[in-house]
Amino acid sequence: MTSQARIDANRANAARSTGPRSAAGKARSKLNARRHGLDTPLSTLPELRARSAQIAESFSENFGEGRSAPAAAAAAASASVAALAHLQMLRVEAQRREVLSQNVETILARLVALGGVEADVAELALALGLAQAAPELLALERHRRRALSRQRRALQALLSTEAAADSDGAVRC
Amino acid sequence: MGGMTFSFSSAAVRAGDAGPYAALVLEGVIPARIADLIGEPPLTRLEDLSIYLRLLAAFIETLAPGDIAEWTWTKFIVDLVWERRRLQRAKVLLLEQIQRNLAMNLLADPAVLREARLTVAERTDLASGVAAAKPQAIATFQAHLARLGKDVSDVGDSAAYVSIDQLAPVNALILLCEQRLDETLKTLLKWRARFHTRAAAALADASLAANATGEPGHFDIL
Repeated sequence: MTSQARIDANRANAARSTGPRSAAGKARSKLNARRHGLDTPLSTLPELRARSAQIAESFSENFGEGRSAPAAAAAAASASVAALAHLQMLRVEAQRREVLSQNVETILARLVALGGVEADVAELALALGLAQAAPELLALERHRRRALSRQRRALQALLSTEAAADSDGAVRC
Repeated sequence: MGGMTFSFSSAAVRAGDAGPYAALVLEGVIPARIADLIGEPPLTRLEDLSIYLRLLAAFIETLAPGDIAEWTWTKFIVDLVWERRRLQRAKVLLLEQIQRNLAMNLLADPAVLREARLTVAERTDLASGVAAAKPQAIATFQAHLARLGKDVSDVGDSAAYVSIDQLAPVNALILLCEQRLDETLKTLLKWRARFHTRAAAALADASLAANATGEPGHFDIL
């Protein structure tokens, strides 16, 4: 059990530290616990809004063209969701690529430092780097599975709007 | 299912903006707008982009994706095939490396060194030969082991034990690739029957990937 003296000392030490004061310091320290940011909802990242809108436009262009106004609106709404899901999938894949690349480069540097020629040890570095990265890649699977499932649902919703529009067309004909 | 083709009503993206897919955009294999949407190839710096592009082009030709959903699935399937290939090759190399290390350790035994009078270079060559399962190297290696009162089954058992420890996460990733491919095919079966038929045929045809990349044997060893 923690002694009272230790508790008092901890409180006294904590009172002396008030954390970063400048805006830059606060901006930096708020990212201290951030690992890859894949849990951050995309809708809260303004830098990705333009890209998301661009992807949504491509999706709705593909699925909403020539439809009645309500069908086009439904397609546009589904396209926005699909675009976010697609973007999240791209983020997860980029993170997986980054994890693998970092591990491979570390191993490659070690093999080259031991006297290996990069071209000769490249394949071995890739294999060893992959083995080293494998636990982290497995840990990222949770994000990948979630992104995939979201993307699958969004694409199905988009395809449903297509099927509904097709059946509307059949009735109108 | 409605038969759709991708619309290019917006301004076309120039091939020069297509990044890693520029070659395929120029050849008309991938529309420029699609190249902008499907994300980067899943490669490290040490992997050959041209081989990946050949694999992608072969799948595009077979799958003939129409709308953006089908393009997304095509890229996803190709990336999984690439990842599975990378994992399988890594697994083979890791096993070889484990055997090589083990052989090196056994050959470093003072008794072997004394009797066989192997130089470091000879030891390295012999260990590599054993790892690559060259008959002559294995025979020489067995002769050295016999002098120590061991046989080659000691090497096999030890190698298997070590490989389980080091290869378990790699094996898990290979299984995940297989699961993802199965899940994708199930989704396609539900939503895009004709595309599913083409995708299933492409995945079942090991020669498709092997011919595209010029690397027979690396796509059909599961």
